[in-house]
Amino acid sequence: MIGILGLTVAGIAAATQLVTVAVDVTIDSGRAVVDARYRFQGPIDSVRLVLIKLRGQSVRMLSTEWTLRESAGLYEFGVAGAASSLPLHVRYEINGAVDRVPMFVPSIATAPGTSRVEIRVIGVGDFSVKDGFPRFSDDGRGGLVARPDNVPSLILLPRRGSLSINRLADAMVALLVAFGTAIWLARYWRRRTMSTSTSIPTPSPNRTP
Amino acid sequence: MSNTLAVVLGVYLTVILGISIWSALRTKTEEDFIAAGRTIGPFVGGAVLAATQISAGTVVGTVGRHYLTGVSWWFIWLGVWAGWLVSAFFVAPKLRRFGALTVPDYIAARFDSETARALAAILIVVSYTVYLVAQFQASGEIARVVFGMKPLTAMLIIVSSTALYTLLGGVRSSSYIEFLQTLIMVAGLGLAVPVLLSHAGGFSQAVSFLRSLDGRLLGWYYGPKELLAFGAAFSLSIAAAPYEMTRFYSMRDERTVKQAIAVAIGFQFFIGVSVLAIGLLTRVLFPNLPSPDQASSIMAFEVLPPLVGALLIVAMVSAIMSTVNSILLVTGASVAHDLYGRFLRPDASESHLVMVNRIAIVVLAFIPVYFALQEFGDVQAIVVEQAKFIASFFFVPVVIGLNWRGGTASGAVASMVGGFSACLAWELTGQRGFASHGIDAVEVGVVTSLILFLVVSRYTKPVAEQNLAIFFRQPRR
Repeated sequence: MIGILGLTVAGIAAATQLVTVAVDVTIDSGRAVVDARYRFQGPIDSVRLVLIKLRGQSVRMLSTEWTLRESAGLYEFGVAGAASSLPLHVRYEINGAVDRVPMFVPSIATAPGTSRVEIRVIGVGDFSVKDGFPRFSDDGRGGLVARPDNVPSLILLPRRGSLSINRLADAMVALLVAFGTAIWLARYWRRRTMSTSTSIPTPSPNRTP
Repeated sequence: MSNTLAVVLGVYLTVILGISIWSALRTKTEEDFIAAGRTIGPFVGGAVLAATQISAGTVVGTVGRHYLTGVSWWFIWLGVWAGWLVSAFFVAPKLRRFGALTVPDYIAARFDSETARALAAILIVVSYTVYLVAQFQASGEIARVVFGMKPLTAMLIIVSSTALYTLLGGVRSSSYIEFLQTLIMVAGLGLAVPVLLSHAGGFSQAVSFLRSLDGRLLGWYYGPKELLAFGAAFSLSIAAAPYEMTRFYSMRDERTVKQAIAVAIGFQFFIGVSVLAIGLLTRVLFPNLPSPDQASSIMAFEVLPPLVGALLIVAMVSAIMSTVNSILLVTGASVAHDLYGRFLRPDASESHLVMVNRIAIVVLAFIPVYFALQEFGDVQAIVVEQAKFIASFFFVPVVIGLNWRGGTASGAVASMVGGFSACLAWELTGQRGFASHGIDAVEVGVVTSLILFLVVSRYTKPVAEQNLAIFFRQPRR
């Protein structure tokens, strides 16, 4: 049926897999250095890796094997032929606002339940772990670690004390539940009161003694 | 599974169990069970209609389709709403006035034919079993991502819990539960979109990335002919959808039905726009997922804050449950009321029919599990295919039959059989040339059904005036 609907998006239904991804991000005052290793499995013709372009940042490749192409919304490079079956090791540097750090996402997807993605962040001094994306936890060595099922296009580490949309949204849920319960109780109480008051039989004006 | 999700899910399941027990205590007759005693008002009714429409096909399949193909899929909503409007003006008021318990009841009365009733009941059971496959497949995807559970386990849990609340209270419990589900869905989606947008770095950044990633995401991934076919499938099937019509029967009067449809379109507009945004923003945050059907659960589980994520997962699970529940009510009623009660035991008491209905619900709930495990296609694809079949065999006898006096029993039977067969034949043969010919199975099915209805009705015995009088105000001169 997928064929019937004309769905052919490269990578999404590919037989090849992205087996492991290990990303180390080192953040240091307005600069982030990203060291990412990707390992694939299966026959591969080519891989396209894309990096989201974020406002207020510049990107510099530290790996010299590939040349970045730039378009309005992303940077990208492609690896063709035999090279793509090798583990890819990509290093790059982000300068500017580093509360969001972009990640290279390959066109070959992970496989549910078998692939392993691990992102470690070092130098997280004043960033908030709770509100980060993907879900980070302390790695016990002063850094953070996240193990999402798939490769995200970016990691997000809001500064501590800043207004967090996550907390705001969670607070809204609590408010909505409280508000909804209050409305329901008020309606229930009103109905009860009305049914009690109307349950007293009233004499009909037409009734003759 | 996080503690927050466990608590939210636990609270939700407790609430729906409470509503089910409360409804069970108030369900005494078959009319109570199938039509909630005809007491539902416009706001609850509108939310219920929205909930019956918003299924796994929407929260898993449509999010996945937007994730994969972008904006153009949104135009199928126009078909959905066109279907609702046709229903509101040409179908629902007449059916509500007639006051049947099931759609085959209407078919039998309008065409004065028990054969047409049996055929309608059988086609309902077959096509909606396919729809259940999509719902169960979606539950398997959610369970795999969120709970790390095997799809079969998830499907069995969904089937058991939904069958339980369907069995307990019938339409009354499901109406109040679906009202709650729509509110949860609207709240969850409404809060998810700003969070995702903020994570993605804002609107213009997200748009710019998507345009560079694949230009078709913000343009025309699907061409006008394809969108017309998909839109027609949804539009024509919704205009004559048996499980939505059952909900019309449970409302107070004709006016309430029209108001409820307006409320339902309002809810659906909000949900449709949110689902589009969520699909696209999830593509920004996770550009290459192994399956588009995982987009919504990954977004809820890995991106959103704990409470909002838990709320949305509950909304997804509840959307599946509400649709499964609606379908089970319709297919169960088709078996018990239209087949068993009419042909096998016409003298059965009301309590006996309610019992048979409940047994049918349990049996029909478990059959699709096997097919869901085979994963024939993505969730949205299965939903579209099912909609094509419903439109092909029901649109003409229901919508045209309600608005044209000339339709006869033989015309209705020929129309249903011909529409279904033509749709199936085209799917198996001519559909492959869809891209080049631009003719879809739904168009072939509906046109065949219409031609057969008109031609066969022209040459066969007309329906008695007393049968038509219920549906047409002016008697034929």
